Amino acid sequence: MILNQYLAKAQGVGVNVELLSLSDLNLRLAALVGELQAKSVALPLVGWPEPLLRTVKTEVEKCGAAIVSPMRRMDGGYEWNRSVLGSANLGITFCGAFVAETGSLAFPAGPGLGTLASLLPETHLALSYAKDCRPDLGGYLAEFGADIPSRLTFVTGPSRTGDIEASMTTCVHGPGRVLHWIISEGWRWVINNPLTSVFTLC
Amino acid sequence: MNMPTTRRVSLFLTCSADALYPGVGRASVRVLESYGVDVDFPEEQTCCGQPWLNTGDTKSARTMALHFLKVFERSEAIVAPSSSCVDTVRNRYLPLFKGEPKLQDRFRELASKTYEICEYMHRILDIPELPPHPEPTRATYHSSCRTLRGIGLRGVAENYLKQMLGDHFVPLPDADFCCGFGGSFSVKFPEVSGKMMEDKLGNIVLTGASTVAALDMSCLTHLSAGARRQNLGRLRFVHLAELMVEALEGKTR
Amino acid sequence: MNPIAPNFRKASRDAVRNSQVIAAVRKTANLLSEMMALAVANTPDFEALRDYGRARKLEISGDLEKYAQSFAANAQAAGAVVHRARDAAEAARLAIKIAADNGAKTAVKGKSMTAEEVELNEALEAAGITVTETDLGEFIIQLAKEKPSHIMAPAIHRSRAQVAELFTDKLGTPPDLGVEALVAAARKDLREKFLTADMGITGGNFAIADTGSIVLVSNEGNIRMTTTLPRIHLAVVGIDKIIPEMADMPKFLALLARSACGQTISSYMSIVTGPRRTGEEEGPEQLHIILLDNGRSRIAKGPYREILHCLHCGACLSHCPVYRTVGGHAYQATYPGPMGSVISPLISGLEIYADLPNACTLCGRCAEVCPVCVPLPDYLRELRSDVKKPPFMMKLAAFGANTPSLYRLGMIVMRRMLKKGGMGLMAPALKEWTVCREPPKPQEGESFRDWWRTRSHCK
Repeated sequence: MILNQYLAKAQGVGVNVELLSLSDLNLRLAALVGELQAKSVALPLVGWPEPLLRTVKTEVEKCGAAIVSPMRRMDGGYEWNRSVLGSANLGITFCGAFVAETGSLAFPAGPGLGTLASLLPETHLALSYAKDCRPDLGGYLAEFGADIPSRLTFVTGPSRTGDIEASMTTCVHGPGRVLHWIISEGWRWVINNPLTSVFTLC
Repeated sequence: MNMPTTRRVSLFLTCSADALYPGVGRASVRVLESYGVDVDFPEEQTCCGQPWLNTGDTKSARTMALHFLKVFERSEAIVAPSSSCVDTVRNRYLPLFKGEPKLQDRFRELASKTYEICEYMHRILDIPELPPHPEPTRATYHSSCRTLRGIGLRGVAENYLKQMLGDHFVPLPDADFCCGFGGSFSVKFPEVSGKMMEDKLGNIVLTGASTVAALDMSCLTHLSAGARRQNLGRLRFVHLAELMVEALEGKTR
Repeated sequence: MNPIAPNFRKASRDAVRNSQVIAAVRKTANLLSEMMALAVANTPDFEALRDYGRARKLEISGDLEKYAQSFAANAQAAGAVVHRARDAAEAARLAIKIAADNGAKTAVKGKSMTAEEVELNEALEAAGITVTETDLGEFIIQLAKEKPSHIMAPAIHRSRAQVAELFTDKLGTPPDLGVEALVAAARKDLREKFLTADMGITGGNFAIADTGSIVLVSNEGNIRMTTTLPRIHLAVVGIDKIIPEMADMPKFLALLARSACGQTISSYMSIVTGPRRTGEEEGPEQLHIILLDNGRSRIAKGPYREILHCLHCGACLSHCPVYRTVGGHAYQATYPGPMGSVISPLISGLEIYADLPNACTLCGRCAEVCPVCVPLPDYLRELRSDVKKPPFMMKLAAFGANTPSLYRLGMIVMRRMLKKGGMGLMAPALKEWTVCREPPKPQEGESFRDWWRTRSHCK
């Protein structure tokens, strides 16, 4: 199953990937915001599926963190307030497509789907639906046909470098920690090990 | 009428064996003869032309290739105790004759019957095993770039060495790395060549071997000359054929 | 232009004495080679990928102009401004004009060997524009005022301790920091510059003709920063970086990522097609692409065409026994190592880089690992015949070697002289031989030819 392949690949590149049900989300969010002691969270308030955004926004506010979101511009676009964005140590973004072949999150440019929230803070949490898993890069690219967006960004694991004595270090310019929570309703997936997944009906 | 055909080879001695290593030439002849091969030695042979090829003198290299063709064209097979010379004949002659298809055909034919001696024993004579050496000493094998990448021979010489020497054979660490000879490179950039040589000698010393075998005397000339500079004169550098003849004839020379 | 006339003999002689640099280079080169080997072993169809890469690149290098025009048209349709630069000087002039036209005074820059090739930083700085390198390796060497020594890992020659010393000196960090702390210091220093720079400058790993897109890969995140935050994005891309279709991209990415860092894909990949569009919340207002020729169309028509297929992965450098012994600076060229020894003389002239094709033992390791099968050793050998006329002594020796009677005499004479311990007639060449070796020692006893004659008579 491609979801298994994605889980294995993503874990292999250092992404903290999990399958959750929507009902678990609140608790997990609260725990994460608490763990990071996040005073402000970068959270684009557009470009999300409504029920998911509602849950996330409510929970973050409940934890007492300020939400940093891009402001609406006159031309209909959105603009980040960069100095405020810089204060957020957690960015939460919706990820509408992720690729099993490479373990990558895909972020095409679009209103509210900007990736600064996934780039500047030290921790990035991406939320997806299980159904949005794609098998391979070539197939995903072909979906766009001639209509390539101005920017198509693939994120595969945390920011890293080996430029000093080939010693691998994370958290260079992008996040040092990437979490990917995949909402799968109806089935509860229990991962024994990434290669042999056992699942039972929830 | 069906007669048992004796294999016949012409020995291509190579410059280094001609000037420096008669023992390698003798060993090659004896090894082949011990397997019933008829060996002849065309006296008009000279150099394969590699030094001119690799220094960009393609005109001279052409002349030498044509001479080689003249001397060896009618041989049933040509065997040389040198991977680099065989690589030159097999892979480097053809590009010298672009636009001359008839000549290229003749060189292709020549290439198809030219072998390094260890390669000949394995690929043509199909010798599966060699007898144990009468006085085995700890030995290692320098795989040489032209053996690995020129004639594409991996593992064959090592197997023969294991058969002859048993546990006395120790593989060389970083065997894939060049010894630093590179023909003209050794005198154009001797410091770099020397450092690469030191690294190779360092690995040889690590194995504890007192004998180093290879299929390329040019590498071994550079390594043995460097070894003597570094007070490692006790190391014996031999072509594999020299160890083979000792094993086959049951006595060390 | 390099003010010092490149002299590989001198540079390599100095380099081999610097054991710290050799150790640092080898440590990283070993790791990169191991990572590549592992990634290749885990890719069942890697050989087929290599063949595909070469075949596709041959289509492009067979008609560079067609693909350049197609790319330019499609990039422009997406809102980019495309400039064609004939040579390095024109590329620099264009970059300065783009900055000036837009009032750009500060720039952040991702790693680009193409920008190095045209000496872009120097040109911009001279025009009063501050350029900050953001790739960690480039950041380090910029602080140290050095040139990159590896096309993929620019600071490969510096140890952690040296970097710590450099940071203390230039950034005021506490002494002797560990790698993580050094990285954190760079992150902090560069974050402010990212947020305030007027212009972002990158190269391009691939340029896709059918969509007019530029593909940029990085592990650090600096490319994303550079191409998202400043209002102008300037990309400098050689015309050899163009690939025909978006559908080709995953395969080329597969080749590049494995060969460069042993990865399936780098941490970040941005496919950029034009500047920010209406309604989008981030991205540059303007995208300028400089398509650089600088000899590429000339090279494409000559015998060394396949060097243009190079993906700039650096694998040939990491595997080259000579590069691993002297490091990149000894080549005194923008592009060092095996691929550099081919392309540097072709771009800058054989008269300048005559040494480089000879700075090689023709061991063949580079060709074994090149992801697009560039025949590097063949090119290096051929360049040797392009460089200069063979010396008279070699011609004379060829005559002797090709005349059997003279050859036999020559062998006898050489054997006798070396037995005596001298180098005799060969003394001049052998002066260099004896820098690190004793003279060759012949085996005892009669020559092979004498032995053969005796036994033939006895038969």
